[in-house]
Amino acid sequence: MNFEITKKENSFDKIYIGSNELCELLKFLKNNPEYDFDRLNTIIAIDLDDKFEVIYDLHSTNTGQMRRISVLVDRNSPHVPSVVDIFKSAYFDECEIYDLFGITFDKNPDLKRLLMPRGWLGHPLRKDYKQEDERLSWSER
Amino acid sequence: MQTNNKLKINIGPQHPSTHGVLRFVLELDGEIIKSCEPVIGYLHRGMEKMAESRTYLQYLPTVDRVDYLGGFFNSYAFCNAVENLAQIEVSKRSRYIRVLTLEMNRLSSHLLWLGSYLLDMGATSPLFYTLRDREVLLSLFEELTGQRLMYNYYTFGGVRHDVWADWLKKVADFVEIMPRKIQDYEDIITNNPIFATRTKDIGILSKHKALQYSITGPNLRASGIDLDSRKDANNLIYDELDFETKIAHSGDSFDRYMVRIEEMRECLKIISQCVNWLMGNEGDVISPVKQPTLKVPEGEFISNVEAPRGICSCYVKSDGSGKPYRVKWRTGSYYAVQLLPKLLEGTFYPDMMAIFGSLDVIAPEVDR
Amino acid sequence: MDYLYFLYLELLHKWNLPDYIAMVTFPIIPFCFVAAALIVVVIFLVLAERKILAFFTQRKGPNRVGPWGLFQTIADAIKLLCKENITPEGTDKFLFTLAPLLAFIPVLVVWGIIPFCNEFDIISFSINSLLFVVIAAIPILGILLAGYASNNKYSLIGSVRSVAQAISYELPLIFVLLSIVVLASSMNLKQIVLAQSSIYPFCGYFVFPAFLGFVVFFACGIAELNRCPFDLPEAESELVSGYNTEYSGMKFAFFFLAEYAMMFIMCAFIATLFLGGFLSPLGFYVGEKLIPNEFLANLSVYFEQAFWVFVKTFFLIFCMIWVRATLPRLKSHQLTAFAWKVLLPLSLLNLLIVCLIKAVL
Repeated sequence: MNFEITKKENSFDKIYIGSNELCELLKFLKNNPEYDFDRLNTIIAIDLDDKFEVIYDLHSTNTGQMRRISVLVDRNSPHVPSVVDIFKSAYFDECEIYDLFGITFDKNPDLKRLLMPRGWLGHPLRKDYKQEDERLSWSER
Repeated sequence: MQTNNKLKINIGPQHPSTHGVLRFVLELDGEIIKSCEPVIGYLHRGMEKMAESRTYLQYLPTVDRVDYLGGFFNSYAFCNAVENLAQIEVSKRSRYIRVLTLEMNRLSSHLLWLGSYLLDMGATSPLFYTLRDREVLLSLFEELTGQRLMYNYYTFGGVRHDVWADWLKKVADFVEIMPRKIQDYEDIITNNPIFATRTKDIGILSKHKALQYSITGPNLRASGIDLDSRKDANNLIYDELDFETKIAHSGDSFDRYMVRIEEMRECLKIISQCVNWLMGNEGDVISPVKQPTLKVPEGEFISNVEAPRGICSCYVKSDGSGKPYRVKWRTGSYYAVQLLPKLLEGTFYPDMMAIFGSLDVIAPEVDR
Repeated sequence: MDYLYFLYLELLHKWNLPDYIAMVTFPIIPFCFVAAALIVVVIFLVLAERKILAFFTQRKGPNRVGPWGLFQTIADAIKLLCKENITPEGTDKFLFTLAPLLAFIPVLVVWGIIPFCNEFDIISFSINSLLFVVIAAIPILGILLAGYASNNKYSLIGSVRSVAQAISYELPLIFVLLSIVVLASSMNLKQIVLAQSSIYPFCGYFVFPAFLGFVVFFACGIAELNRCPFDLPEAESELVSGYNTEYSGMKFAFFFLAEYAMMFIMCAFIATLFLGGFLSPLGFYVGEKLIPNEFLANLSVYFEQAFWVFVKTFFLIFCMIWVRATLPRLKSHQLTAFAWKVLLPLSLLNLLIVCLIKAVL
């Protein structure tokens, strides 16, 4: 597998990896007894203006280690493979990120808006989000 | 609705037992739950979006609202992240004060949980008993911070002001009488046969499932996994204190209840140790930082804290300006709500409250 | 009752009115009295429940309206009467209105069965204890109709549970009643009370030979009343308010009134069957000894007997509220299992014990 561990100033260690190899890496880190990352703490998405970054925050309950894996996503066609079949807890996280950032998770069983109302226009946590919804009342939605 | 002999029923958004504004769409076959779909977002206040348009100090008072029963925990998670990014030193005395208030907060949160859980099961009296004891804690918080729920007491580099001997004395008095009260709760609840039959072997959460669904806090410890992020929290002084992490093994509702009861006792231990240390030692409680114009260097940090409802993580990314670039909250209840349908399938409808209540979910923490 | 009728007849003769007027109008009088007493009792029962619960949970309870909050329930009642009667869309309007009446009117009738004193049992015939059980089951029908007519799923589940519960708990109730009938050799409530008198004060009460039956009957009574820990039909945390979720204003007031009146009557019934009803636990009546005038002495004895009924009833009500303050709610299938697997065998065992005692004595 092709990945690098990067240590930046004033930050935590991150493994940058391409979105194609993400599932493979997570499976490896989860099932290999040497690492044993058995819990996905959370998934964090960040809007970096020109692209999105998706950080997977892994945690091992046996060793207490935390490990962060980062995927950079193209802003124009944001697609990341879903990790729901590896960590079931990822489902809500992925829905939330889809809702707030508009990143599509391929093969997610039922990707839907989670926090915002159904039929909301736009993705609020994007930096260029402006509320463009001109419809007035809820009954019109 | 009637074609497949299943009854679709809406629990919430307004319902006496959803602890806020949650909604579940249940499919019932007789009294057996066939499926459950949680619908969240009714309390979404955009905490994460709000951070992007406010300075660090302006955002600080609002973070207590992420989880209104554990305001100190959210406040600590955010302060800790910012302190790590901006390299601000926190004095030892203020760390002790933080641990003291955190544990008092955990105790008050568990007390309210206990009362409302029993209320969900139909027993009204324990609610009043626990509220009576929680009232003492809230009065102490009010005296210290001026607020009963949204404290805004922690700040970057410490706490806003020192505690005083008189207040510590009151806390010590409270710690002295509290164990007897907890014993009272045990007497009327733990040994109650109806309570036992309603909670034992109900909603069993296996180790594997708990990890798969990223459950943390007392819910995970009730399943037999010894995970307590207090032990490896480097920024607090838990390593200097003597306390145990209580775990249970069967992972049913009764164990989740027992873990919380035992945790309340451990809280008292920690509180009394903190009070003793604070009475015997002097020191500064706040670092000299220009807070209103605080500029945080570029970087990112995740801080974890063991909140009453599981690990509360706060991710802060700074771009060097006066405002956070991105803040992300990870809370325990969010994952508990996700787990709930798996625990409910095939159980009886009245069990729903015994399971849902034992997970200790509160809605604002789910929706943020 | 005959004695009171005789007095009434004499009164009418004084006014030169024919006998048939007395025959027609006489039954109305005790019922008016009963209806008035019912409402007064319920009003103070609600207050008592709130006060006692407050006492159990270290609060003050209602204390703003009137001295010690005495008028709190009256204020609440006035508020309920002034409220709009909301009939939600999609309800069966006729049944929706009929249901509260069906729940309330039988309660008014069974009130007349309880002997409050030697001369005051309005519905008095040889098997009126059986009539009590029969009529007391009718409000369940009202609850079922309320759940069906409301077009609300919570109401429906609540009412179905209520019926399931009533069917399971009626059976042990009747078996225990049977044991009392064996002991008293009569099905008339007044005769049952009189059978409990003995030369020593309160030693003849049926609670002693049929103690097991008393416990079973008390539990069944609580279940019949849908009170905690058997309050599944209106389990707040699951079903919002159960069968009366959609009711408001006057119609809700009827349900509320029926529930509390039934609670009082059930306790009065238990007191009658087991605790000697209107018999004085002292073994004598104060009025009998102190008042020389025979007529006044008799009158004072009647009031004393009514007083003892109320004392015993309120003691039982206190116990019911005590249970409510202590226990959490059972689950629905535990509830039926409890009735069939625990209470029914116990009630049969009780019947056996009672028969043996009766045979030996």
